[in-house]
Amino acid sequence: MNDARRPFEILAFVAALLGALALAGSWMALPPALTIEFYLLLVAAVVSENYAVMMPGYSFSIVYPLTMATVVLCGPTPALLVAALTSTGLGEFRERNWPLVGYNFGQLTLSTFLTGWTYVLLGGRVLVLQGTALSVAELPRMLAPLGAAAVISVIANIALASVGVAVKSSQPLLPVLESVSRVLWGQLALGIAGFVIAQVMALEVWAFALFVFPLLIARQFYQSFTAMQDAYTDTIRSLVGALEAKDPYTRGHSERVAEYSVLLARSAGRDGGFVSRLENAALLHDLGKLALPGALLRKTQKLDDDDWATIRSHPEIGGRMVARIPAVSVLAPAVEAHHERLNGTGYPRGLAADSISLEARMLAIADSYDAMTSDRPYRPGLEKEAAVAELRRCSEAELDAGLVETFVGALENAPAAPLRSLRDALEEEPA
Amino acid sequence: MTPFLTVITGSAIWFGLAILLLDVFESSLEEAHGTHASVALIAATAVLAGWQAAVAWGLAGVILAVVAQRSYRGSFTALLVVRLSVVTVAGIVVVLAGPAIGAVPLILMAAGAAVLTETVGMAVRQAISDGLPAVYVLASAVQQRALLLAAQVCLAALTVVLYGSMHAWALLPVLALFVLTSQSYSMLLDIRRTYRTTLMVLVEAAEAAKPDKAGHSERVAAIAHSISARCGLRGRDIERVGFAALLHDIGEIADEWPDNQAGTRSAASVVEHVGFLSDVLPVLAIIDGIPDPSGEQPSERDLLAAYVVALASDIDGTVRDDLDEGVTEAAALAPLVPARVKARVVAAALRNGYPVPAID
Repeated sequence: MNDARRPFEILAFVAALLGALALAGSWMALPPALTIEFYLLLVAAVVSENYAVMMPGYSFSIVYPLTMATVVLCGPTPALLVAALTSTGLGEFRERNWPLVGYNFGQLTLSTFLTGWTYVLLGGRVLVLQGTALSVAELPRMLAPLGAAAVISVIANIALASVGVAVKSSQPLLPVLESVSRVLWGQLALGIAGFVIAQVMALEVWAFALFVFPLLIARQFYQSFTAMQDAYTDTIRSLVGALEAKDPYTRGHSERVAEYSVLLARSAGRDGGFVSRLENAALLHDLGKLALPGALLRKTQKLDDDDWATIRSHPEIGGRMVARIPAVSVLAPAVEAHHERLNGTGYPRGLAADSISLEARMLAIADSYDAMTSDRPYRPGLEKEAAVAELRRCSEAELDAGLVETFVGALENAPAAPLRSLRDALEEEPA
Repeated sequence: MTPFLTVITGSAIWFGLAILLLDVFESSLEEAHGTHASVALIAATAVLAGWQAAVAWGLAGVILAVVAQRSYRGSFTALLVVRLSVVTVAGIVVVLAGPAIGAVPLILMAAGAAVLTETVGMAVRQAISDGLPAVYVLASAVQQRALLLAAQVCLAALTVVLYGSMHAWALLPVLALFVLTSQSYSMLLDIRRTYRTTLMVLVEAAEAAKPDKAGHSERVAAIAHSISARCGLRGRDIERVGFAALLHDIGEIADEWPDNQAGTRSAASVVEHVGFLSDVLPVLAIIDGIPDPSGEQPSERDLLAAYVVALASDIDGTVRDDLDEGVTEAAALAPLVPARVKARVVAAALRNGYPVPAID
């Protein structure tokens, strides 16, 4: 057995055991007959768990509001049953990932146990048992049990999820807790949605469909959106790569600059959103060059002033083009400034020092390094050591010295492998 | 108390505010992304508070939206007419069917009639501004938004169901769901627009290096879109014609380097790794004359799309007076394309007023 996995396996066993005890301890409170409302919520929860939409840092599933709805509508024990039966998607079963199955079971049953009994002990009314929905007059009195149950549920879910992630990936608990806590408000809103589902079903069982159908439609839209968003960077990479391929001297340049930029940004400790933005900016940084006459780009004679003026227009042209693309328009200033230099000798605007954004300074380093190490019509590419020495020389006045050192350090620590493999290796590291 | 007086008392106030809030939210979206969510709530108001109240709040919503001057700029009259039609239709449904049926069937009918009226109104407005037949625009809008419209009708019905016990409190969860569905729909449209613009910008950048090609693909895409709409294509079909038109010369554009030994690439080979264009590849392959590797005959759907693009390219050449009569793209495809498909495409181009080059 792999020793690295043992702590999580022990944690999963303990969580599953506590979850089973919670279920057994509540069994006496199971109503004599389960109602149609319970079965409807159970089916909806099973379906939802297996078709959750994954968003960056967030999973759009309606299991959580459905267990809340079961608490309010049928009581804690039926809610525990729903939680236990839907705690893990079929995917984990197919993969026989038993520790994960056990931990998910423990997490959801424990949090539902705490939620359900908080609601009942604070005087919350179980709607199906008394056969009526909440009236407007009752609402103020029910705010305390409903609010407390929602808060307890969110706290328990976030705490248990954070402990699980921290132990499973051997990370410190606090950063994980901070990351997972970002879903706090969304979870609270879903708790309120759970109450509304219960209220709707207490009024008219069939009206459940009126509530769930729009949620499913929203889920469908989100799913399509996330699929397209996830594929966007790959799409730009393919298209830019295809268009760059016409020039053997710049073939693959944008992709390599993107790889170097990702390496630099990660080494500088930037967050995932920044790294992703910079990767897109790097892929598009030479868009303006695609629009320049090919004869000029492959000219082997000395360039005259007009030639230089044309070439120096490419960051502005690229910036204008990027500004037209809605999702990446915020990157336009970085694209436009990737040839600016700290001492003001760059182009197109001659910006200096703090006027140049961090993204543009990172792009300048990645772009310069790739330009130095690539072959050109008029010279062969430099070796890595010579390029690093040249970067350091430029960092005295033109490039950001701190970032150059970070980049050089990252290059030296990176495995000697093709760039794609390097990137894959970086992505495998914990965020 | 008459229904009109309920406008200024009780729950009607909250319904009015909810309608205004939805219109303000709407005004924060791109015009093309408008979901007109408030219309379903206007129908619910017509059922619960009387149709005069719905008229009053519907008009207030319009006025606020116009004041916001975001999504409705330049279309005040059109929107006013459409919104008046909506509340009138919802009111007529309530008056005629109200006494005979229960509240939930009534709201389903009223909300259905209201969102349909709004959709028809907006389609007519777009058809007039784009010079396209209203029926095509309407069919396309219904196909694209069917799920969203159904969700809105459900939410209007949910409002009526919850109102019985929760009164105006019912608006809180319903508003949240209206915003959730509209926002997710808008995000999806945003990312699709991003893909389209990205493609357009990249092709434009590549074309700029060749003065004789500058702007050709974008013009062809506009002509092809117009012809395919007139041919009755909708949804993804019309979208992929647009992508195929933008990309039909990309192989030639991407192979400018003079010492390229491999010869000009096909457009399909340039974009073969771009996932979201996978259903455009067969169209590009037909335009480039590349047979299917599996030996299958191209479908009529793909042939129609390819012929639209080829003819649009020839039309652009004719307009710009640089068409090579000997090798027109439509003529090259002619042997592959069934006569009825060619006739349909050419007739659509002629009805749109394009100068169609000599046809075999």
